[in-house]
Amino acid sequence: MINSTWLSKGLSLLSLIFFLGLWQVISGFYKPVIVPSPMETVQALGNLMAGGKLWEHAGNSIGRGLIGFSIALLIGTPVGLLMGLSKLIRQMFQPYVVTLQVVPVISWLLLAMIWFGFERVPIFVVVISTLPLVIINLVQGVQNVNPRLTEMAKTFKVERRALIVEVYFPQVLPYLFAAMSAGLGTTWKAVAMAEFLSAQRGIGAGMATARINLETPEVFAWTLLLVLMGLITDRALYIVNRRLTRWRNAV
Amino acid sequence: MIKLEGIKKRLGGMQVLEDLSFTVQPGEIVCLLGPSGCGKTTTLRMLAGLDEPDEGHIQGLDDIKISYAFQESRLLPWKSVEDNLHFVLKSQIELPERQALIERYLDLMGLGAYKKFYPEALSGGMKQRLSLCRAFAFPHQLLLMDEPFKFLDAPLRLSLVREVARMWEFSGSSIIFVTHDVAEALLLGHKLLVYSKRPTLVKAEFGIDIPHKDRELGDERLAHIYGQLMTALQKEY
Repeated sequence: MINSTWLSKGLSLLSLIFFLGLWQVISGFYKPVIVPSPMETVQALGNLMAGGKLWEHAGNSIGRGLIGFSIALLIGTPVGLLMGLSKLIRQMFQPYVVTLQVVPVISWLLLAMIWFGFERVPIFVVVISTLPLVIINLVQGVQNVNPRLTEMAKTFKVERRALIVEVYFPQVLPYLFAAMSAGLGTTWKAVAMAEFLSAQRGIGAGMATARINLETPEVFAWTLLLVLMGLITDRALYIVNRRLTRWRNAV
Repeated sequence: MIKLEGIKKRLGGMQVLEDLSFTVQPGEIVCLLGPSGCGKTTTLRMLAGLDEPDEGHIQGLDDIKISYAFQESRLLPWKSVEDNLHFVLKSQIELPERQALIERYLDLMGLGAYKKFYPEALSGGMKQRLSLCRAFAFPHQLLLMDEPFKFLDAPLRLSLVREVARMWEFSGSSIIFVTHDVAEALLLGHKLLVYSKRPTLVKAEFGIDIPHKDRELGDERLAHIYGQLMTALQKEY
């Protein structure tokens, strides 16, 4: 038998090689200004790095993204918990959550440009687009708390604090992680889009400049960077999550 | 002595308990038998304070500590075997004695070697044994047991019934034991109560004063009670 982790790693690698090969072949038919090759993309990324532009822009984007998503977590966590706990509060807030979800991001973006001035637009857009993800996940987390375990704790006269910390929290935690995973994935996309339209610095701004200068390899390079950021945050969350839920893999 | 008197209870628009009365002496094991849905679990829930009777009253519960063994093991999967016990005991017993007590009960139930394991790694029978450890280790004068072996194989059930009898020798507390299994009741109970079908009252009562260690399922005296018990039970199905 082949070890299944090696098998799955092998398959991942194979699919990556296939993707790069396909990209290489397609780029052979077009000029770099239409479809640059993988090598040209990496080169462009190297140039951005050497020129210092990469760190400047990426630093701005990462800072904005993290600030925006932190705000969404700070607002969304208590709101989500309260909505999960109380039907009344849930009914009160539900229309707003739905509104946040259905209003197109471009509307928020334009309004934010009118209301806040350009620099704070990306942060606002991140807050708006990740807030419903945080809220919805936490509502679900609270609603999936096992009432039998709560009853068990109450039967044994467990103190309220222990009930919250040792019974409720571990059950909601996976949903908080799901919120963070979905939220950060959205964050980098939202930040880049908002910066594209509103900012002087940031990955999105870098993409806007590259587009005007017809530097398609640079557009690809920025995109590659966004993909890497998404992969890294996802992986980091996965590792932390697995550490915290070691009991799941006890068998 | 714990005394239930004239208890009535409606659940979901249905009259479940209709004039239920019985007593539990200190140190007595009372087994509740009867058809599904006749209010056996409801009786336990009212004794535990998880439900209120509509009418009637329950006496003798003031200043009494109650422990509960559920149908399912109801363990916290994110806590190790010993931490599951610490979780319910920490507000009851201070630390050096608590650890000693936990280890004594885990050893008694053959779980001593597994104290650092998570529940996921245990078999169904081991989880249920841990749940029994929790119920017995929690300081109590009354222990409520709601078909704690329902989801286990018959041979395992009978060996766990013997464990319960052994633990009872240690604790000397009163036990109310709900079961569908006549054999379990015969091996364990001092008093066997047969519930009628809904609306429920106590239809028949049997006493058994044979010490636990002398109770064998083939025993003549038990066989005699078995016959009467089955006759009383069959009328309710």
